Amino acid sequence: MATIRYILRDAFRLLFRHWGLTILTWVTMMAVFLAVGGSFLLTSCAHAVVAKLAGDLTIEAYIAKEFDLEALKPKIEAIPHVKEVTLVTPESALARLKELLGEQAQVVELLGENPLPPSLVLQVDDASNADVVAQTLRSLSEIEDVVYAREAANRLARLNAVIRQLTIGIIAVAIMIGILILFNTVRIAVYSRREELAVMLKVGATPTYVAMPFLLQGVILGGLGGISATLILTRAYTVFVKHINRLLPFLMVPEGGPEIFIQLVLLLVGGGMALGWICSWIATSRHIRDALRPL
Amino acid sequence: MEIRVSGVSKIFKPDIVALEDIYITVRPGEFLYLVGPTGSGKSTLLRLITGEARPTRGQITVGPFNLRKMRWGAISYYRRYVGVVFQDFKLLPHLTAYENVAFALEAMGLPPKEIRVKTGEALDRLGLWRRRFLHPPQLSGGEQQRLAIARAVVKSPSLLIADEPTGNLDANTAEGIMDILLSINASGTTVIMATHNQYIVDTYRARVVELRMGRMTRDEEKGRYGSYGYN
Repeated sequence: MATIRYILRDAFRLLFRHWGLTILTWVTMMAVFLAVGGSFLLTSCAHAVVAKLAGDLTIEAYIAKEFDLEALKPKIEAIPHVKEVTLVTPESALARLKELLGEQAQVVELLGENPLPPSLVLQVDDASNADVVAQTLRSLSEIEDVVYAREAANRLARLNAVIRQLTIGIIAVAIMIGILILFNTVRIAVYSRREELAVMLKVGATPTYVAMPFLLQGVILGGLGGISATLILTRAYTVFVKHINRLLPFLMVPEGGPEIFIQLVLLLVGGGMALGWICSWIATSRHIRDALRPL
Repeated sequence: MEIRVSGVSKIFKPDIVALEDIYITVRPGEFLYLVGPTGSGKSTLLRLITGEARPTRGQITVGPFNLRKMRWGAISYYRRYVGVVFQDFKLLPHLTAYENVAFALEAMGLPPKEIRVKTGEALDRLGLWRRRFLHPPQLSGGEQQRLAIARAVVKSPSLLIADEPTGNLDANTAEGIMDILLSINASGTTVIMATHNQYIVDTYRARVVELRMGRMTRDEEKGRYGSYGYN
């Protein structure tokens, strides 16, 4: 218990002794985590919007009249990547057509017999799989024709991939910057106390006891950066979504809530603390090992 | 703690022989002077005993610890039984005298109350209680050396190693330091002291081990600084 108290005291001494560096690192870490968290939110939004658009993207499969629609449904549902299958009987298709035509619906009456074939409306799990599902449908003898927005599906799939790659790139660069900053801050702290560390080791301090204040310093700095970025991003996201949904309501960007906040806390605060620990460990362990290694 | 140095040699790369074939046994509670000219290997031998260096050949055992075989991670635990006084004091300038002594106990994880008591006793014993709030640069050379001794003895070590503890001090202050070291020795702590101070060795007679060019040239009970010959 006493050891924990000494370690905590020393960690805060480190933070306050180099207060200028502490503030600089805190602000820089916050900027890094703003980039990471911003990219994360951007991806989440983009995925939600693309998922919404992809959800609206359907494949319509027209069935030859001699086949039973109900009997065909399980076979279609078994096709990989098919998420949902809705049956459209000729009657319901006609009713929908009349609804679309409005006042001109009586034109349909002139046709006499219902000319519309039975069909199935399919939703796929991902826009990029629409092509595969359509090809499978075309290969079935029961299917007469397949209609879907092929170009839109491909564009959505490409957009999704680009956003994912961009986000991974931004997060990777931001994390590398974060590692360098934290590593250097702790290394400066270790260097400024190298004499003290050597004496501590000479009088019987364990490597863990010597290293712990530096590890805590890294954890606190990483955590502080993560907390600040989380608070800023949570507020900024709420404002951003409100504006976007007012200007472009069809996008229906998901609103910020506890779920987003928890995800940001886990990613930024948890990630920041873990990053701080790892950087500090790298910065201190080598110094301590060298100081303890016998000549 | 008994110290056994058996056939120890230390060769620094590429081929600098610092110590060669040294045999010394120091009995528990003994006071031993280590003398010899600069470069004779005194500091190297002390480093081998504190675990800062490892012998190239031979064995060193201090009580139950075999320093040749000891893993580097275990050195910290061994050093809790050994107090070291450095010629250049190695005090931490940003800590007060009190904190300099207390942190040796903090490093061992002792509770605050015990640290307060032991640090107070050590500072009082070394005559530094009234100076406890001063920082090392505000203390005289003698006071700094006493503070370094306080830090070494506060953990009640079984072995005290002092590398030229009177090296930077005037004669009167050096005598004061010697009185302290002898009183620590009288309480049962084994003391090994490397020194160039002929007056001290000749006045406070104890066992003398002399090194020259890395070889032991003399081991004499109640010896003198300038005596020669191998017993």
